[in-house]
Amino acid sequence: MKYQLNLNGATHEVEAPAEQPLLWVLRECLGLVGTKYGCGIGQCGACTVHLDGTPTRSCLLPVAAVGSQQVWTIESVTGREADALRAAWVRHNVPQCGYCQSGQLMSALALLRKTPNPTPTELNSHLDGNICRCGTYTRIRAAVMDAAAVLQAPSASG
Amino acid sequence: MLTRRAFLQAAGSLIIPIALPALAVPNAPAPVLNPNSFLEISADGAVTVIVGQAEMGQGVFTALAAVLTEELDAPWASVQVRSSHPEAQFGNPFFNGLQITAASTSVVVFFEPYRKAGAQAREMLVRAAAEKWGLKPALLKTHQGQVLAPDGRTLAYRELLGDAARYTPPEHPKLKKIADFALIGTSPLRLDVIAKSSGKQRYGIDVQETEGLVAVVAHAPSFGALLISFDAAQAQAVPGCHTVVQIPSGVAVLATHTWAALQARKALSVVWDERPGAELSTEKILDNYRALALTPGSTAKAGLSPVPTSAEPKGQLSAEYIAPYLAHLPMEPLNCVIQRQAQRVVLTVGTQFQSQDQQVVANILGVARTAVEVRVTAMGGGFGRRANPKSDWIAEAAEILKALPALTAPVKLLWTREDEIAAGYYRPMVLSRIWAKTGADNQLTTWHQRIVGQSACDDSALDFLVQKGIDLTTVDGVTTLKYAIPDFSVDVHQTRLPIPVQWMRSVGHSHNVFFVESFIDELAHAAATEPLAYRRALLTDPRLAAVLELAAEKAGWGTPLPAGMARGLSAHEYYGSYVAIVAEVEKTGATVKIRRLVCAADCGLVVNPDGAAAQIQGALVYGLSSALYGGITLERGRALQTNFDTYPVLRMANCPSIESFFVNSSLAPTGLGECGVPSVAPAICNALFALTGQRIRRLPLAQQGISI
Repeated sequence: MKYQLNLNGATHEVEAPAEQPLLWVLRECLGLVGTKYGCGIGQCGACTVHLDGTPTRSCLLPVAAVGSQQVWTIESVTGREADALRAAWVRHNVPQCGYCQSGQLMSALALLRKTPNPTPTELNSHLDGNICRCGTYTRIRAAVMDAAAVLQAPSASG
Repeated sequence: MLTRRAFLQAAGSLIIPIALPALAVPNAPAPVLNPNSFLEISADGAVTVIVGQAEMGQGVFTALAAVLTEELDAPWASVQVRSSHPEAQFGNPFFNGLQITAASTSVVVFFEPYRKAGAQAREMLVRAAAEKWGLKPALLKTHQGQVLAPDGRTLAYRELLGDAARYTPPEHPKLKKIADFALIGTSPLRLDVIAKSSGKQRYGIDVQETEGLVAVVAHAPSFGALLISFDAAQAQAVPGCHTVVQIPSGVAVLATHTWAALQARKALSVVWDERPGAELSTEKILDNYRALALTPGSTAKAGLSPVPTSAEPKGQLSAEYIAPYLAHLPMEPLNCVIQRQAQRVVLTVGTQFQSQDQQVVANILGVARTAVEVRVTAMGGGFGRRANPKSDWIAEAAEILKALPALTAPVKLLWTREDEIAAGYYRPMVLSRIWAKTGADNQLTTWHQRIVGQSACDDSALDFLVQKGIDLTTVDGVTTLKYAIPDFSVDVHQTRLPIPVQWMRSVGHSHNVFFVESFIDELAHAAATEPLAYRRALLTDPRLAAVLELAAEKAGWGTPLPAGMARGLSAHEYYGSYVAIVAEVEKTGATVKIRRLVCAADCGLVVNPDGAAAQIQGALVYGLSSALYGGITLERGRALQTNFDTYPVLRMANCPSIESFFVNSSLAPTGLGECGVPSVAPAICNALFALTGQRIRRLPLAQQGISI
């Protein structure tokens, strides 16, 4: 089957079986390998992409179900929240192996866009679906809170 | 970014090639100064540090690059790292020269060689400048990639490379004084942090070669199962399926892309004889281990009195502890790419064990070791799994090539998460019984410990770690116990089972410290002595005593906590690194929460303080995850767990606050990647006992009816 994907702000045609998960379409048909395979059952969050702004596990999403929804992947997310998060990730030296971090960033980005000033509880529950085996959780927390603070600061508001 | 046109052009092909091997330096200019195996300086002054140890997230590239750069005196921004091919110079002396990243030895064994490598180049550059200026080398200084003359003249390293390259590298270059370190002891920007904070880091799983195939293997559904027959017709009918072929470990399915390979494997029909594993179950194995624990084993450490042979001899305290089989679960599932080329085989893999992987592939394919080129990629975690005693998944890839002698396409072998959990290798399940006697004033006089479990090193390239029938990785952390006990003995039963096992982050200590530090806590309570004071009186090692005091002080040991909370502690030594952990545990209703972990460590000189803190934080999370949730349960030869839904791991919401403190030391650096793991389980179990009176002697907590 051929599908027109609204992906990263452009239209892309791909050919794949209807039930093939978006994850493998992104990685192997389109070469967008920043989105990772970690479990294939929607448990680890490494494959998180945004679907009309909602963080979504691409390993469970058949390509046929994407339809006209806007897909954004780690390669192309832009804007002040994305910039603030990437900068905070570097400042806090968050990644170790780094494999889960695309998914962590995509989940954190969705959080800050919806909840610019999250409480620790909101942060914990929002990011609970993203597993990190290197144990960078405490740094992710600090980096997200830091990014939120930077975004709230008067100098960042313009 | 690819353009839209490129996307559309590519849509017709099956896999978009991702050519970049993760750690290669594309189009690097030819090196101009290359005085040793560890360093190249190119004409533009770029410094490439070559590292043979595996970067799996622990920061070894950044740490060893900083060690070399410290002595070279070059700007950090000019430094990059390249992964080495297997070569003798990168052999790990701790493991008989095998090129392996294990037991937290990277900085321990390569600290001096990388210092020397940097100092060698610096001395050659200084000599070149001295000759140019007609000055004595001793009059010259260096700073950040420049040689400085007393009169203010300067020459950049890049202007001196050609001249410097003419000299023989000095055998004994002068090293800096520790007090003069400017980079070691600081936390320079991690070399991979930007790529890893933007989705740009490439891992082995991201390597997609033109015309490449993806392979998955239908493994035996239970341990020991034998393949009777298979029917590939349905699999072959899946669009994209390329080949189905039997190999020793099962039936390999090759397809043009991953999803097709997975679908074809699902469609494959295989008949197995599962009788060999039918009797294998965790509880049956433990029944056997329990019986063995009451018979004398091979002596690992001899004591004064006869070893006990009954569960609870009169006048002795005794307890039985169990640590389960564990799965490593690095976030990046196991994979590798293998290709037969003219005169050679190219293996692209994220591995901790280059030299053996190379040898295993060579053996299987019947080629010389040097005909196997090993390209090491970045790794999405390792935790020991990528240093397999048999190079298991890599051997499987080689077997696929062997079974298809005409195949020249690159093959990417992928193990799904389910494949990893079903097939092992696991951290061994270990049962241990400890007996203790006390004398006057509750003085501990006798400790006998028996350990029952499989050897990880038997029949492998690491069998030199098995001595007199005892695998050092089974007894580590017990035989080296740092308590003063006049009559101390350890014996061991190494069992043999068809369940593949290997080391996990912190190796034998990962179970043994749980046994030992829990039992010490039991003894303290039996003696009605406060656990910190009890350890204080017994500890023989001042460095271990110091971290215990530091952790206790930072955690506020002995100060009141709110109702429903308690603290527990544990301390241990791991190959020259000393760690103490204080855990704060809370119980609300039936639910137990770990609220805070405070860790003090002495690992000698700290090369990179922020990296060191990251390793302790990560190790504590890893240890906590195993203690709370980790456990493979076998029934009829199969693991009941299959993926993260049934094998839970620690997630954000249950991650406690973590604090780490380091003893200020100028002693030689020791390992940091693993030493934080072992004391987590006993610290939280000891806290739980202090809170509830319930003694946990079997892990994980979640399988002991404790709600987390």
